[in-house]
Amino acid sequence: MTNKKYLIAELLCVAALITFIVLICVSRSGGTDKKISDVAAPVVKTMANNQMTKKTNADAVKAFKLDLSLTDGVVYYANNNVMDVSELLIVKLKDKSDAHDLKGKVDLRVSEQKKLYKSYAPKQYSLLENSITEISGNVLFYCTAENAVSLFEKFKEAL
Amino acid sequence: MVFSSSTFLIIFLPLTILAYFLIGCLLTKNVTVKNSILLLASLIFYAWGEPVYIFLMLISICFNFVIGKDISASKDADKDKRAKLLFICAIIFNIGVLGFFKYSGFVADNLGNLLGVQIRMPELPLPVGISFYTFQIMSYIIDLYNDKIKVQKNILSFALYISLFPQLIAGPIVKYRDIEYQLRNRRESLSKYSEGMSRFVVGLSKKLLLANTLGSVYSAVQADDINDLSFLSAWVGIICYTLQIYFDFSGYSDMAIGLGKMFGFEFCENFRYPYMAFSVTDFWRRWHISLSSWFRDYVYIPLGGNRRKTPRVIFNLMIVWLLTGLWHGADWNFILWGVYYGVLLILEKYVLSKQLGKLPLALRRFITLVLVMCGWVLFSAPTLPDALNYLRVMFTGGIGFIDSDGLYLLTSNILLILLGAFCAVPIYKTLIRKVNRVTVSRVKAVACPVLLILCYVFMISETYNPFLYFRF
Repeated sequence: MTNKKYLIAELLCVAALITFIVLICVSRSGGTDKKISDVAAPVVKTMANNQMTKKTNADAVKAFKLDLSLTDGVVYYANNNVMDVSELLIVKLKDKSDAHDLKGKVDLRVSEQKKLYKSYAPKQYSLLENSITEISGNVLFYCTAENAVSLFEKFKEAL
Repeated sequence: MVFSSSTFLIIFLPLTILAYFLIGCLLTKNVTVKNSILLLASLIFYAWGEPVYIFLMLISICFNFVIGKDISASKDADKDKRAKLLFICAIIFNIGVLGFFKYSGFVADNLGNLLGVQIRMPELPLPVGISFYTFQIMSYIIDLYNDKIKVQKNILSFALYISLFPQLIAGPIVKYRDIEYQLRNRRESLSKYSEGMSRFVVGLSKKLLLANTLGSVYSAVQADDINDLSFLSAWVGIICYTLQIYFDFSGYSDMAIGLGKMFGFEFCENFRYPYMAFSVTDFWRRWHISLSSWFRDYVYIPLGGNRRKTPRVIFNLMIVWLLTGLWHGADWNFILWGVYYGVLLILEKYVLSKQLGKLPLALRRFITLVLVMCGWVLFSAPTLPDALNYLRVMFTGGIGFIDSDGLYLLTSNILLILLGAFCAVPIYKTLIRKVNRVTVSRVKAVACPVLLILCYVFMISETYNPFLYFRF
């Protein structure tokens, strides 16, 4: 190989890296046009039987202080047992600039739950410590569950 | 994919072993075929958990392979300036990739705080194993530039060196010069295979039976409000974490070394009973040996090592330990953890060496262990204030020295702690030496299947439990 050919190959690799970074940043910030029900379906399917039950939008508003007028759809699951902190929330926003405010509300909910369970329910506290809150463009995913990682994987695939 | 998952143990590993030994060793006996099978398996292994970031690793492999050949060609043609420029570009590329994915958020947050503005970076997950494979790549590029190794002309072999699944995501960090020969010439044998298998089972047991169980004790302590902790609870918690992180990481290294051995590779040891260390310097000769030797060979010695005047040596040590802290994570507590060790090593080297030398060995070991445990507080706490609060309780007593919670924690876990301590020191090796070889092999033959069955039981009953060092 000549110097020129090496240089071309190196530049192609750098171009590939830049393209990869741009694509991954765009995909992480771009969100989705899919319906919230289509995004949530594979996640819900991955939940174990009776792990969590579907809750209403009003329940989500109560738990997370959501402003429904800013959303394009909400999917909220929680465990009926008061001693179980498992929760799944997927929210599609009309405007992705509202995502960080929403994340703040979810973080607040998690920290309040932590205060409640700290000192007497270490397993539940540990689940909260390992909860996942991620924004992908105009969609927010929040999950506290033993299989939160696999639910999050399904969410990413569904986007 | 993690080693301690049923997907790996029941599907991936048996299939890889079958393909490697059937096609690679029995049918073709060709090293290229063997390497290709391992490379394919390694890419599947990585893509299983990182279907997107596998492209990042492949781009990195291609770039470094080409630039490596370019550096070598430039040196052969006596174009030293071009070789130097290419070398610098390669280093910038690799550090740039690592920096972007690992540190950009941290830098943006701190810069934003400093300037009073909000700098938003895309919230990208950290590519698994990026710190490990980037350091392996850099060892190749640096050694190549310094004429310590020959250029790798086969992209399959180069890609296999970077992506070899046993050590891809949590080390040990294998230097190219240590594995170069084995990539083209290695021998598999039944005795090596069985030795590797035993080592793998030992590692798996360390992780599933000891590390995870000890980890649950520390999680219980962490779940308590720091203001409700007693001296006893705090110490029981950190003793459990000290044992957990050792069994977690050394367990992974055992599994990596064992798997490598099964496929004919010999990886360097990564741990040598670190909690037996009689000084902090000695601890770092025994803990994560591949990382310490990487920083020694590629940062400390090029900076001048200890051949310079004292102020410069101190500067070199601080740089190395700052980088070691940063390597572990983009957070202030990791930086402080690195600086903590830098300061301890400097004190040991220049201020306390004579005094420490006069102390009995057992006392020196005890002091070292306490210092290491304080380090783990910085390392494991979610935030810096949490770490400082925990240290305060450890040394001033919190709500008191002994309380009912602390006593319960100690009595219900004392056997586990003692078992952990027994396995973390080489007592059983000394016992084995006193028994004849036939007995040892008989015990091993019984112990390994029993441990494996126990691991399966633990694995099925447990939830997702990643290795602590995955996040680095």
